[in-house]
Amino acid sequence: MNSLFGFGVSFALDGFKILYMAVSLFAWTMCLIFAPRYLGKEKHQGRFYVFSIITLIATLGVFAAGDLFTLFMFFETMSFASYVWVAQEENEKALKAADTYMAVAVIGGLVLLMGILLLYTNVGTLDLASLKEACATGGKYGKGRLYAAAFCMFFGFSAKAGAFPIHIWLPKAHPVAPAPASALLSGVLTKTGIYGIMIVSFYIFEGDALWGCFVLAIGLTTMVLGALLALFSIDIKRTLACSSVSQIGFIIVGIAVSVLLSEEGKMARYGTLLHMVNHTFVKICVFLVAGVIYQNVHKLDLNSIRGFGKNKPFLAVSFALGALSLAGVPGFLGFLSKTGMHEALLEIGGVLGSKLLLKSVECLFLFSGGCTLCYMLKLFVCVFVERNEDEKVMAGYLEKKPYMGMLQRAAVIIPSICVLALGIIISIKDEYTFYALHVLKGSFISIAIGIFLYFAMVRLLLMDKRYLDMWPKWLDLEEKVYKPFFGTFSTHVLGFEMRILDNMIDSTVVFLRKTMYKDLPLKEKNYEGTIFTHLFGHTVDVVNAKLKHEEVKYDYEHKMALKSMERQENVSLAKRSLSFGLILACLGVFLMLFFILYIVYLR
Amino acid sequence: MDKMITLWKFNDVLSLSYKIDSVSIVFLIAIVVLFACSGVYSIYYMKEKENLKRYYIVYMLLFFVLCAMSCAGNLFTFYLNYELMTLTSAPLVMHEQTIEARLAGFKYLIYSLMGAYCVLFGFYVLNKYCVSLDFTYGGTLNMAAVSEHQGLVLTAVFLMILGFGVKAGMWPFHSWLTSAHPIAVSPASAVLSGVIVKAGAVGIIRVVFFLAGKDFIDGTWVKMAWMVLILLTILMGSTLAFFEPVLKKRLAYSTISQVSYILFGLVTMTDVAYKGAMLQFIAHAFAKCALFLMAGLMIKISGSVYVKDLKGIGRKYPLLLWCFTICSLSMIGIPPTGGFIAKWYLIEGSLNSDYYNFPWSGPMFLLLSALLTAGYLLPIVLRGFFPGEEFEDNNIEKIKIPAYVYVSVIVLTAMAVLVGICPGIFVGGGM
Repeated sequence: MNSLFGFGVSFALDGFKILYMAVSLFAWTMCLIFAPRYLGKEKHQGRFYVFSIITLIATLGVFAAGDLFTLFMFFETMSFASYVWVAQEENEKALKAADTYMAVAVIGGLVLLMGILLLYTNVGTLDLASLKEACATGGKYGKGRLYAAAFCMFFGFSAKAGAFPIHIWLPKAHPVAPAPASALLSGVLTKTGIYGIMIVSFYIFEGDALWGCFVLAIGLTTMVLGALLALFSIDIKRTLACSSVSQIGFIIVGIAVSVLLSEEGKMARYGTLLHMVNHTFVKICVFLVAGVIYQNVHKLDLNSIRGFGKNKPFLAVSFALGALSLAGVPGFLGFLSKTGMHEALLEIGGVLGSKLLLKSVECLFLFSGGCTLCYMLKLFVCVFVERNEDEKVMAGYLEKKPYMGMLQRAAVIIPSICVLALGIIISIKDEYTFYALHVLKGSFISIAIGIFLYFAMVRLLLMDKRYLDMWPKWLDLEEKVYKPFFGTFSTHVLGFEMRILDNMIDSTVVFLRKTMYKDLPLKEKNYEGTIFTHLFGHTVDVVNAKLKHEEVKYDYEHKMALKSMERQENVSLAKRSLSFGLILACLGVFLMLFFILYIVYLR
Repeated sequence: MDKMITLWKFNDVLSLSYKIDSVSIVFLIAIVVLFACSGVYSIYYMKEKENLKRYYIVYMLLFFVLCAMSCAGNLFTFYLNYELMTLTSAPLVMHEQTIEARLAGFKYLIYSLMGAYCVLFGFYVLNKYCVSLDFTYGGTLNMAAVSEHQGLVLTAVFLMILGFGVKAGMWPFHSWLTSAHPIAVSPASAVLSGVIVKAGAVGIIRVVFFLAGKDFIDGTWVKMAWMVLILLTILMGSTLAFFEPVLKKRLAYSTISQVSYILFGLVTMTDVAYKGAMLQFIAHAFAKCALFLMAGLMIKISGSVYVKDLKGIGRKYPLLLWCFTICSLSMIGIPPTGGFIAKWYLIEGSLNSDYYNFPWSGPMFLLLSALLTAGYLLPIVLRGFFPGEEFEDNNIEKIKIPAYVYVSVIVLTAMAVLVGICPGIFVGGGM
């Protein structure tokens, strides 16, 4: 396939790629067996399935790609095909969210392209197998360009992963997309972005402290911001979306730690990888649970769905398993992954330089872990423990009627059992003892923070019998920062200047036609004759009138005018006559003669 | 292939001779496919129009002239056919014979002739300083003669670039495009935008790469000035298209910006970027021709020239809007279409060039323009397929579009994708 697309398409497989291709296939299977009942009798179901399959193929292509060119092609296909998921419902909110999604996808894609090209022109290869060696030397144009390339690529990939400050599409797109689509968006599509970030970090900047710190900073911000946003949200799917942002933050922190630790970062890589898998499984489970709620109630805000899960132990167990794993409670896969990252995090003190910094990073890590538990607890208590305020609605929720199909049950329970099973199997098989006291300490601190936060903050501050909507609107980067800034920039600066440029020649033409080349209006003659006759005749008339003490009569002026017209006629007659022409010709001949004589004789 | 056929010889300079080389082939493919497709399309589109005989005669004449021009072997032949092309294409612009059409036609003629005179000046100068005016890659300048009058020759070359640039829609003489395109009948604007605008680009290729030689231009003020003009044009075209509410005018602005991509590849003067320019040349020809043809259909369907009235058009005409989508993706440069491969080579070439700050500014302008392109083309597609819940498609009437019209559009779209998948076919082997 050397000449296809002018560049050649290549595929290569290794452990990680195969793992994630398998995980993607699993995720798609779960979501697609969930979908038919969820979509019910909705319109345009065909396109949902078609584009799901296209996105699946593209996602597999991203993981299977052997070079960045192939990866980019599949990445773009995936971005564009998944647009249909977000816009599927076609209501106003969905279309707006879809626009945001598209804008982020396009901008991210273009910046990514720039990054890949910068890398290619610098090191001369895009093959993943040989990228590491090629980058070690710094490339043809030096390290500066390598950083620029990596930064662009990081931006492009993190737009898909949902890292700060381009996480804006996640909280908007997830609530409006159909539940199976949200599950895949959050569970798998963000991981393709993470995969890209891993390529940039591990292939180009293995062990580079500057790069590691940059990624660490982004990761920490994303992690904390996502966790806090999730606390304030009272829309179940938006909470889960913010939770995705936060978990992506954890994963990026894990990547940063492995970059900083370089060779010794085995633990960090292990933790990161486990957390990716954990997040995928959990998000599929919990988003599908949210889907079950939505297909019955058609609402997503916590006050309306409160108490829905009473008397539905199956749903409660699936959700609880997922939530516990996400929060990193011992026994689950999430515990292993967070522990791995946490243990590795404690070793980067040497790179960071100061103990205080390390301590604060660790605090943020544990705090976000606590938040995870807190918001998952909030969702669980709201849906499965409490009763709805409206008794009629509650009675409806308690009614025994089929609320989900058999395939849907399978789709919800299998991933959540997987995280438990994987958590147990790996902790037994692995040589590292996860269940030692000093290792468990981090997890327990995190859980304590979570429970404390739940009672101190959620029950006290964010609830007044009902769940209060404290969603920080002022934190909406898109509405408050990006749109005003780029809107003003594009309309007032760019648009204005370009309009001037556009009209330059045309307006010059118009200007000339209005001024120099104007069609002069025909002057209405209000007097006869020429100016001379007018002035002269008028003077004579006035003088005459003064002398005779009479009113001014236009006697002489008229006569003068007549005379001048007569003269003009004669002149024009003479000018048109042959004799006048002959005279002029003769004059000319004479003048020439004189000129020749002058030249020949007098000089 | 390199054999020159001389039809008529007045003296050494003035001879009609034809030759086919790599540029001719690319141009010829574009001309033949475009004229075939928009010709088939005209059968349906022009059915209810008047003066059909005149239209088809002029159409065929233009086809003939363009073919002759693409195979021209020396500057005189090229210039002769270039002028003929201007004259024969004007009736297509003025076909409707309304006041606006006539004014737009005159504007087109005046701009084009003005450009042609700039070229003519360069012709005289180059005639004196070139060994021969036959097109040979690498240039035919007589360096000994040039060395004393370098300023003059550079000015002449710049004037020629500017003159051909009028046709190619290069700033500042681009505004005939936005007047002529919306007024002309759709197949005519498709041809205008698809090949006639490219004729200017071919003219520039002939002058810069085949007469003056890129080594002569590289590093001089001509390159700098030319580059600034191109970057301005790229950004201006996209920005104004972004703000333009009238569909065909939006596409015309888009042409201004996209044709400057070709010139971008030329001004970069690296081999990779040159390859990118040729790919952009052909990919844009197919995609933009298809877009104009579809715009004609859409205006017929919705009865409105405004973009906002195209909401929900994909509900009744999914095939049409799918072609529109793919062509739009090619315009933006999304894989696997031709526009993507072209942009890849263009950016790669400009990143490899080490001229001033061009490695940075060039790609940035290209990407900004690509972003704006997405901004002005994607909403049509997205709102066409996803008009919203409350949308009722009453204002879109179902008219019967014959299959051959679809075929013409699909062929063009398929070609645009083919350029992306197998670029090697179009720009020679060894890719």
